Amino acid sequence: MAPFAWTIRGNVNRFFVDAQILQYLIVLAGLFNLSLCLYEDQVGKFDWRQNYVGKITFASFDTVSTAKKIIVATEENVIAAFNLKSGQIIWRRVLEKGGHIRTLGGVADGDLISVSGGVPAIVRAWDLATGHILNEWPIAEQNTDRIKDVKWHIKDGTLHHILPIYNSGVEVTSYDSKTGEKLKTRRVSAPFISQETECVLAAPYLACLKGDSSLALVLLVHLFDTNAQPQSVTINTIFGAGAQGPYKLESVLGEEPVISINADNDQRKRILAVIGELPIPIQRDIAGDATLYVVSIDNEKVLLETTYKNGKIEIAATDLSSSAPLPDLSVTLTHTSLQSPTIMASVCPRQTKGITCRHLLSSQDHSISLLQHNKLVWTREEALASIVAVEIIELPMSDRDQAIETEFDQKERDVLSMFLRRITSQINQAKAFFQTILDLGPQQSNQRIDLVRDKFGLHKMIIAVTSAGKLYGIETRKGEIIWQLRLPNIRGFTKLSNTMILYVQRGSRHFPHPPQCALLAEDKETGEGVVYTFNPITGQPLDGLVKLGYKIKQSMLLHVTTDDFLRGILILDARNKVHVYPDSAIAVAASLGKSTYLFTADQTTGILSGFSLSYSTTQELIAHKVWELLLSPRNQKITQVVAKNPIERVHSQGRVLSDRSVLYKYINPNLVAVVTEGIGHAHKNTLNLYLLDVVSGAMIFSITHKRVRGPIHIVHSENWLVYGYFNEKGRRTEIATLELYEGKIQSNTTVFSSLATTKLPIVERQAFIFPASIEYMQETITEKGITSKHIIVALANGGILELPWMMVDPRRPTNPEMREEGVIPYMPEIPIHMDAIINYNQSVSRVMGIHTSPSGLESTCLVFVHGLDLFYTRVAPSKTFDVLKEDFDYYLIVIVLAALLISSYITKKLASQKAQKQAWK
Amino acid sequence: MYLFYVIVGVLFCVSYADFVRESELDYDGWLQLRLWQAFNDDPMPVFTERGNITVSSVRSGASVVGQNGLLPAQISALKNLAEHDGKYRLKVLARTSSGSEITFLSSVPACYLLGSDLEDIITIWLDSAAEPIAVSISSLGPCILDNPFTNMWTTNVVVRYPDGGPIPDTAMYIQKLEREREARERGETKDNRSFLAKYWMYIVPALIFLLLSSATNPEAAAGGSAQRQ
Amino acid sequence: MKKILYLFLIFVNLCGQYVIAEHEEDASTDLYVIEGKVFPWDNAASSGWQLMTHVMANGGEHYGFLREDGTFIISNVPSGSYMVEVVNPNYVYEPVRVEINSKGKFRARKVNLIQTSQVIQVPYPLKMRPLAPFRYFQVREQWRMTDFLFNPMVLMMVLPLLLIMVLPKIMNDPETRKEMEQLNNLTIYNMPEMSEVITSFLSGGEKQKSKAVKAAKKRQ
Repeated sequence: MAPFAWTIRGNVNRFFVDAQILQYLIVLAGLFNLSLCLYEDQVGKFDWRQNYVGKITFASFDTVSTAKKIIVATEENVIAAFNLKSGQIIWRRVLEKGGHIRTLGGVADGDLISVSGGVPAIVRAWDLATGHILNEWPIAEQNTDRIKDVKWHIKDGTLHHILPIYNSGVEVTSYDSKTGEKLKTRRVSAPFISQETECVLAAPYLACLKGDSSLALVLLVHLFDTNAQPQSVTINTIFGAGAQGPYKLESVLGEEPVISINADNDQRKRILAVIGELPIPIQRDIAGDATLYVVSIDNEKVLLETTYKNGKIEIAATDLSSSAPLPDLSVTLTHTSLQSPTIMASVCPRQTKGITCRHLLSSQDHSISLLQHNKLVWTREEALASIVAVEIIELPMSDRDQAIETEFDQKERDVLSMFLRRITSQINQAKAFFQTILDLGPQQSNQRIDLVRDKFGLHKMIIAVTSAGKLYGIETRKGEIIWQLRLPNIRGFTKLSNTMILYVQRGSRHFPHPPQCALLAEDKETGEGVVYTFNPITGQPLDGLVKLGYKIKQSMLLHVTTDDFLRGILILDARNKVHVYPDSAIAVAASLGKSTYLFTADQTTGILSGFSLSYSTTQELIAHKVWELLLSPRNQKITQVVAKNPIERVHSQGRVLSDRSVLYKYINPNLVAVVTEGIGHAHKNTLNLYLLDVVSGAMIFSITHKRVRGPIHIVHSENWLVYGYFNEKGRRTEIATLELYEGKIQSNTTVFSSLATTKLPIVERQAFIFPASIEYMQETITEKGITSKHIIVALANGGILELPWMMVDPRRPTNPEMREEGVIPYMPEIPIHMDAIINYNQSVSRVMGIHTSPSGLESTCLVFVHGLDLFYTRVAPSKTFDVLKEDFDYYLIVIVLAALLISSYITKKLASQKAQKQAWK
Repeated sequence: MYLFYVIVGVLFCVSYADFVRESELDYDGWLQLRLWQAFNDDPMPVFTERGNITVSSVRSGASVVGQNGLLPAQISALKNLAEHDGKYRLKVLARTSSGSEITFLSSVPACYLLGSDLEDIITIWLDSAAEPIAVSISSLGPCILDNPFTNMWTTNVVVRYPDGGPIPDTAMYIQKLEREREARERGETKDNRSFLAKYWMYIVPALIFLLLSSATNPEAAAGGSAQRQ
Repeated sequence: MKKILYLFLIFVNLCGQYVIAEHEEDASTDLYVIEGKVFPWDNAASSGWQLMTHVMANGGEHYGFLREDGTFIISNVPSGSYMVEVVNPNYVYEPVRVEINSKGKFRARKVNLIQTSQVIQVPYPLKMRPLAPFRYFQVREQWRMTDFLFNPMVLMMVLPLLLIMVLPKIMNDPETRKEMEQLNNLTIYNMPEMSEVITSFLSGGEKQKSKAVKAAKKRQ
């Protein structure tokens, strides 16, 4: 009925006097295009989500409840329970961001108590089976600066807060772990404790190392027995003669009070076990890099030593007191994916078949595995909880298609040879086709059959670089990890908040050259730059890890390729010298020197400088400074420098206004937004935003917001900027937009030159209220830029919102007199529509980044969200205008066509019969 | 008595002046800039003195420029620079009223200076605390390589500072909502028209149809009845 | 004397504005606890809804978790203004603004981001009920017979077709012809009235339409 009414109104619009109603309707009809939603049957078809927890700090097996599981607490402030057999997460509780879990315990008694947070800490008691919270209470902390030295011990439903007081003793405060009631405070005298003594907790003892040389002493203080005196053991008793410092004291994981002391520069270690209230040194050398765990089997204490060498993991089990080896509990395993694993928890129940030991291993690259009897039952790649760099790369074509493509790469272009090549390749294709049908012949292909480019370019490969130095290749269809690479001894750039930079030097379109990606990072020890090149589709290293020998200050990918389609990387080092990687690209770099500019921003000094490479020659690349400006660090601190996406294209040069004139956009590809926050008492809570042209060094625009608080999330694209902040005065999150226009006349219709323009653009600005907290924002991007831009916003409640740019358009009119097309009237609040949440009920916690990539279709953009969880989906901001819709009714059309054909044939027959009858009358 | 009111008025103005100043600078000061220029075509610049600029009040932007003209050797160096697509570099040492000394560097393609006959624009950007953050030189001229007509500089000095950030316009929206609410309470909605006024577009076609059908049918009937009669 | 006193008072008041503004930054260091209860939706009795739901203050600065009966506490909260929201992937809960002043007094009110000073109080300890389930999906357009039939094109095509085919058959039938004559008598009865009405109306109004009326009259 509704469409009928609409057309009647359309037909009688001549009777309308009030044209404004018509305008309302046009706008309303336009608005209906904004409803971007999923259909319920599309769930899971092209999106997936993966949950992670992070690197484990505490773990224990839950043997008390009916369902056996493993409880872990991680560095990311997450408490989770894993299924013992499959490793899937049964329940997971994500605690505050930036917090710290200080201890987790009580599992052996059937409770789960966690202490987390800073000062004051919060103690939470959880239900082991279901993960609900039972109770929560804060611990008041007397000495707030000694929080690092506080040790915790949870036993028998009591939480003990242990703090060594210098030159006096140890203060032990006991609380009931569930209710928080303070039970008693005791002070154990131990006058030797000072700032230099290193103390570790080996419950119920506190072991401290005093002194450094061979006269060093290990002192043990019993924390719960008031009558006991501190016992001391000299280093010589432990090591015998000939041991050299520096000594390091460590508590051995497990239920027993055992400590290990490293000596000889970490070459070897020995154990001191407290058995029956007496410290007994075990006279046996253990390798310095072995990790230890003490597990009790049938009331016997067994020491497990884990060593890792060249991919071989060896767990040697010995009896703790007698040092007798127990070969049936020892395990040797060769596995490439684990690296230097540590046993975090172990349980060895005696069953009918004998003792089956299960060990939970956590390796240096954050992965978690369960080892049972020489076999890894499951592995979880937890490094993916801290991804620092992402790229999405096209997959190569299948071998057959690539063979066809080679004919276009040939140098000789005469028709006959191309024709012959085409005929031969097609004969080969036909042969292969018949072979696969008749199932003869070998299937040779050195790639997975399904890892090829699909017709619409929607199947791609995600390269994820994690902070643990591990690289993953994840395919986009189901989120399966295709390959993993481990890079030892690298870390992110400390000046860039620990991120690494990933460049795609060559895509997968240039057969036979393999695709190449380069990762720039810092060496862990020296801080100098390293470059690692690898093939992103297969995960094989190409040139391996190259140590550069200088610190990287700035890097840039050249836009012109060398002869074999490789784009060089320009690197500016800390002494302002320019290098190019690989060296073969120096000729290309020198030829581009006159038009290449680099810029640097230093957060500590506040200096922004621009360099030009115009004096470069093919022998040497020289960068000379052409501009410099200073954002005084007394008043402000640079927090972000945001440039536009280099592969972005802007399709339309301007906007059409209601009077049919064109407002030209100011599209400056060299524009960078510098965000600074005010510091100091006078400028606290100020946000400054500067728009800077980094080729000429000219500042284009600057704006200041007072009484706002970060964190600031900013999106810079085309000719606009959208940034979100928290308004202290109104106590709400606001989003402000800036849009730059040249005016009614275009300054240069062909090419934009930063050096030539001196006219400053007109800036339209507007601010809106946003009703949720923002974690991250990113804009969609497509290959040609025709599709409208939507902003993907990650909200704090786990949802990901697709916000059309039209809603934050700064030209939204406050008094709607003349309506333009594509512009809706102003409302101060941006509504969050439920159907614009693209991850329906798959919440993604703690989003750290969103990466968008164009796909083969102009209408579709691929979105990858990473944080604690990973989520991938596709969005179509202007609906899929370049493909037929999914529920295209083929059947209806076929039926209607057939019916019409048949009815026209029948009617023809009837008409001819009638005409015949008439003729006979 | 008069004095009393005057003083009260002044005090009130002083307290409200805070709100007015939101989009302008909170502070005022002076700036002294010393300029150096480099004409050489090498990566390392060799700076020579050019002049100085004194901005007496950054809020008003009034400035005094004192600089020398260019010597013929400098003009030929500039032309040489322009022929090699080089840049004319300017170093500025700024002294502010708060006592800080900051060095800025800026450059402009040399051929633009030649094309505009040594006319340049020096823009001084300040931050919200009236401290200079950037000094940049730009020139409008077309890129030509001829000798300039004059050897004296024509310098325009522009002082810019940040704009105030936009605030969501809630006041107008609240007013609009209240107006609509009042209108609804007063019953001025359009839904109280008579039944005829609401549905006339459906009734009128029906009447026309009836009219036409009875116009044709009575004709046929009249014709038929006329025939029979 | 009085004048000087008045002046002094006004001056102190105005200075007081600035002084108070400065002291806003000295927050008290007392920490408080926000308590409340979250009610589940109707059929959620034992589906582990407490696990899927948690409470967030100020967008993740502080978290509160649900006990089995749905109560929660958020501890270690300094005084200030907090927006407390219940996060659940399937149901929408309305957020509440909780304000704790420096003396430890709690006030909970509804969140209004546009008119931030509007106070509609809400009981404290908080009771959060679900507003509505999240409707993430759009219902696919179903093809219905009615869409096809009520399409105006189809109506314009089909109705006249029916009339053309049906009317001659009616004309040929004698019984219906009688009925039609009766109808026509009625309509004939009506017709002069209509034309009279029109003529009287138009003679009072514009004279241009008299031509059409004359043509109609002539046809009769």
